[in-house]
Amino acid sequence: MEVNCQDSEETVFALSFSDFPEDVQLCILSFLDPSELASFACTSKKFVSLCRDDQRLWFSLCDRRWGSCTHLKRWGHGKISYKVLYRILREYENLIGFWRRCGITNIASVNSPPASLVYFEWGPFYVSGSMISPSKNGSYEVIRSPFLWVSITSKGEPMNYLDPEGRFDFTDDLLMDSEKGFLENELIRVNVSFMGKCHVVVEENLGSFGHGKVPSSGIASGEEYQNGCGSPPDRLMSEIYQYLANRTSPGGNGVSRRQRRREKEKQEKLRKWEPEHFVKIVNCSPTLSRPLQGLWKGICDDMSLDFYLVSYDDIGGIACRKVGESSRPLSLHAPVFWSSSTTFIEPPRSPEEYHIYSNRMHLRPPAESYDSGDNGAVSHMLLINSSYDLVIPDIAGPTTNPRQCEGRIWQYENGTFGFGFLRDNYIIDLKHIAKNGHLLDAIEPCNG
Amino acid sequence: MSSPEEKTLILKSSDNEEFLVKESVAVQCITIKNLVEDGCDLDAIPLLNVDSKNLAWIIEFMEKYADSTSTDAEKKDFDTEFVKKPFNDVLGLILAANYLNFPALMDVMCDACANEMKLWSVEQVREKFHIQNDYTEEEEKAVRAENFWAFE
Repeated sequence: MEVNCQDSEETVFALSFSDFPEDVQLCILSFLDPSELASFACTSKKFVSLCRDDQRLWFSLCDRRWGSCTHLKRWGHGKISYKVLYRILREYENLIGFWRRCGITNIASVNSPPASLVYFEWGPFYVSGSMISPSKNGSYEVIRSPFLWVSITSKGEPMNYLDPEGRFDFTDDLLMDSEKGFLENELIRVNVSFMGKCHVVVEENLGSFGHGKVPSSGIASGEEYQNGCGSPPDRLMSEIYQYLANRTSPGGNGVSRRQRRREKEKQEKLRKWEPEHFVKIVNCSPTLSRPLQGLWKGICDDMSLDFYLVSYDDIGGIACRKVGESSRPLSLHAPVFWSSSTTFIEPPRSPEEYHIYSNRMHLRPPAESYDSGDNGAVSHMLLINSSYDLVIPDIAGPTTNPRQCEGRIWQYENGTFGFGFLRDNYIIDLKHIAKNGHLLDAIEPCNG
Repeated sequence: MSSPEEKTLILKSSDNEEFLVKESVAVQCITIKNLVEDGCDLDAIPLLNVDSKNLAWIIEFMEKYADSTSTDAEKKDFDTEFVKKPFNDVLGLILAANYLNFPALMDVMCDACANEMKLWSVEQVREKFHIQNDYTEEEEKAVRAENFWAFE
């Protein structure tokens, strides 16, 4: 079909969209998002079935967004429509990242206390949740213990399994068997419910009884949870209470109250696992304007590895807290360090500052061996405090007397940083827990 | 047999203009690659559905993408400038890329086309693509309200 090209701006392109070869139509449409496709379908009846049902088109949409993250054709044994898969993946994508457990915790096993840091990542045909805990082997390594698999059946329904002790690898065969009910005794079937984008509840699926009527795609009025500390604000706590209050068994006609109560008690006895709430840690990586932001790992007082979360607040300050095993809201923990200003002090440093830094011992995990050149030279410095008791009102602008702030952050050329206080001679060197969405230095838990 | 790096092909547009292109660059178009493999490249390769205006652009794009020294960032910048053409030319390039089976160009041009479409109302889409509105007023209202993919 000849293209009618002339130099005039008023050239009317003779072809209509429906005259284009189908490959061309599909390729153009595959760059739109679903709501734009819906608009396109409004142009003519001819395009309705194309936009609504074409598997190739919806596969392209999924592929563009998640093709590099997961094996699209393996989800649901490849039996679900790609339009349904798009909806599912769009929802599950909200899980990806770091979360904190809060509320009731279940003890996974005697040997390992429940980790409070959880990492969700894409698997080949599922999203996996892993507990992340610091290793005890004297290195910067972190232990990744998968415990939750979020997937779908071949009918596109949610199918999620909890493996609290991490005994299984989630494979195709396992998935197949689990649909036949084989693994019901080994793993715990759970519901994963979104309450807003940053709050997820994982609760044992006890059949048709005993779980709340929470819509699985409940996005709470578009509000984003902005507090970087990962602690639940009041709204979140009220959501949790509301969720618990809604957990009523569905009463059919003629089912007596007493009978319902008896059945509910029976269910509660069978419950193997208490519901757990997870809150997303937003802002868990550095940005250009917030280079210290995010999750870090480093040595703490007892020379063991620990996790830290550095958050910037809305008024130009910064705070660092340990992400420990407690499930208390992070904001209730005392900060490891804080500062009311995030303006770095540019080089060159004064001789006094140079002296403060140069005589320090770098605290790093004992098994790690590297020299001082690894991180590069110190590029920037920040004044910090260690306790909220020492509140120094910043009326006259940035304090110039270095002694008023009891500590320092030294940022290195490679983007990592170390911090220390004037009261001692140490620098705690921190490293990123994850970079570009990938966990660094992750190892499997050693069993037995 | 001369190595493919050095061999030059003659591509002839529908309006009989001839272009010299290295084989290693031209075979990014699967159509051309197939012709070469079938041994049809001894004389000029006639491209009946591509005029000289489009062919010149396509060759410009091919050469940029075949250049192993250009980084991804450079290619992105190139694409951004390359697609700044009148919409009709964008469509022309899409059809030419489809005929020549040149996936990289196809993706870049279709993406540009979709980006234009995102800015338009339903009426404007109809106008630019010469789509006949075959909905009645009630039908159109119903379709606009219908949530195929509201994901409720």
